[in-house]
Amino acid sequence: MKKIKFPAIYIVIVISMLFITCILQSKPGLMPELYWTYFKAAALFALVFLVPLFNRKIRAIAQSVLKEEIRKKTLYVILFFMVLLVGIIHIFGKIAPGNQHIFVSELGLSGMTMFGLLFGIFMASTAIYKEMEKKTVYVMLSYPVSRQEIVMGKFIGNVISVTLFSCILSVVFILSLLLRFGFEKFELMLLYSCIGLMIEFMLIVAIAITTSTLLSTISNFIFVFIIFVLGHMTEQITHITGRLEADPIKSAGNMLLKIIPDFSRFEFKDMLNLGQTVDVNTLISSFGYALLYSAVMVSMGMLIFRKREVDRL
Amino acid sequence: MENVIEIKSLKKVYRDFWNRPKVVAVDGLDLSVRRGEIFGILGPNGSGKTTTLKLLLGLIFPSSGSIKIMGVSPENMECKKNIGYMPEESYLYGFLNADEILDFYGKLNAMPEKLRKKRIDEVLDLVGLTEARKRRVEDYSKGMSRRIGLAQVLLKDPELVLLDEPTIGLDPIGSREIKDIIKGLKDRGKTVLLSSHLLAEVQTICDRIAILYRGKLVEEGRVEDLLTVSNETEIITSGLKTGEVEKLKELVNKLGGNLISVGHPKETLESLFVKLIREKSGKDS
Ligand SMILES: Nc1ncnc2c1ncn2[C@@H]1O[C@H](COP(=O)(O)OP(=O)(O)OP(=O)(O)O)[C@@H](O)[C@H]1O
Ligand SMILES: [Mg+2]
Repeated sequence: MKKIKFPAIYIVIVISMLFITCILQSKPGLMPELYWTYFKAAALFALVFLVPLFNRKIRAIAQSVLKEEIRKKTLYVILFFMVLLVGIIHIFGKIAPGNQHIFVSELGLSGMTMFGLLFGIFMASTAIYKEMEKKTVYVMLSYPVSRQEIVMGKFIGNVISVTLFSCILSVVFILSLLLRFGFEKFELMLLYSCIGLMIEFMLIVAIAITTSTLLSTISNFIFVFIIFVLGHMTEQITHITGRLEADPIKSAGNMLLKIIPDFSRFEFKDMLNLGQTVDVNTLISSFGYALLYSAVMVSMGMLIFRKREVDRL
Repeated sequence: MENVIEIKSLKKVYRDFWNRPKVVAVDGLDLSVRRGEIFGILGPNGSGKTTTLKLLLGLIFPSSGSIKIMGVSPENMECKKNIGYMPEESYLYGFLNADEILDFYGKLNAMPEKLRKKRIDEVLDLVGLTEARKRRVEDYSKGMSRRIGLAQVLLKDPELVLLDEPTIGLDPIGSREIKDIIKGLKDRGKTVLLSSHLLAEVQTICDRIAILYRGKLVEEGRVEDLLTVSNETEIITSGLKTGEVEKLKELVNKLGGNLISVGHPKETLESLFVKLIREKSGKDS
């Protein structure tokens, strides 16, 4: 009997998850929504991060990605500016007296979003294409490493890096807020917002890695940026398609809405502003959504890269 | 003897974005490499040597024809443990140092940590990079990078070694060392397939060669046989004066000279190569 390979199982599980989610969405009440949310998040987390990390080759590749990103100077430039931004806001944030801290939090979160976008554009979106361009993948493929493992390793390495860096950023950011405004103004919502952004970054990385199996550096920059912008405009698109009469355009709009990632699930900036809160369940359901989306993306990346001729750029 | 590599009517057509054929890089190639030999692929620039190696590694896929490496297709991951590859230029992760690069490759080859550490020390010593092992490879000179490429192959210690122009970019001592290493591999029963256009080099180390021209096989065989001019005879004698050479054939014994060897004169690989390529390109144009 032929041994069933990990990527095949991975793809099958991802597709069945996607299928069940779609069914549950079209027939609410079939199963307690919350259970499925928890289950989906836990199962996908295991599938996307824990299981692959048992594979020492994936681990080695992820480790080297992390090493590269830590040693890259561009990242420190970005980080420096983000910290600077927070610092400036912190020092001069006297513009809106009264709810200054909200204003500052909002700006800080925007800064973090920028960081995620820049990371996605400059780091993740070149991950696999650069291996082909610099031809380092030639030697890598002369080892007993499958192409799927390469995609997986790059994905995990990049997610770990972006999470690590945004953790640092969050800590700096929250600490500086605490120092400035004291504990009584601190809201759990701020922490949730940071976590939400980290989840969003995972999704950006997944998209960027997948397209980097196909697109060259510059086109991928543009692609990731467009997805980022579109993903933040889901509300506007919904609004527009809702008012449309013409059927083909409307259904095209609805298609688009189904396909592009819905980043509004991870951004709680506006809610923070309005004084609203999210609960943990919302956060977990967003996490599940991002995991499923990422898993689908990575599966696609694996399928594309499997048949990719690495010297045809 | 068993064949480690078997290539049958292999063809590779590079296509452009619209899937229109652009270049026929390898055209109906038949080749087999036997276990334990050093096989050289020769050919002018752009004749398809690197493309053949890429096909052997499964980096690209044949347009038609088949490749078997140790009995399996190159897409089969399992055979990769026994293949070492040194690309035509060293493509390295600039942000790592020599130690880390080799450690990375060792991990990809599923070598246990202890063995990895020990072998890394050994191969770094073998390629003469022990001193520079903690420096980032982006600062390495060209020859030093090539040595890492070789170190990576030696670390793996595979049955089949594919070397794309192994001595390019190395100083004379370096290329001498590489040749010794290649011979050492053969002595240990490994199979080596190398591509080169440094003919003198190929002549000294290869057992068999194939000459490619525009993706087609022009000539193949043992170096010895190919370089032997069979319709001429060469006699090496001593103790004869120059005037007596013409009468030599019948008279050699009568004259009391010592007949040291009778054989066929050897062409140099260079003249053979130039002759074959000239013939071919003359025919084509
Ligand atoms: N990715 C590619 N896309 C299109 N054509 C290619 C590609 N790679 C190689 N070729 C073409 O295939 C032919 C063979 O190239 P190859 O690199 O195999 O030559 P080579 O024998 O290794 O030459 P050299 O001695 O210069 O290294 C050349 O005509 C080259 O232009
Ligand atoms: Mg070449």
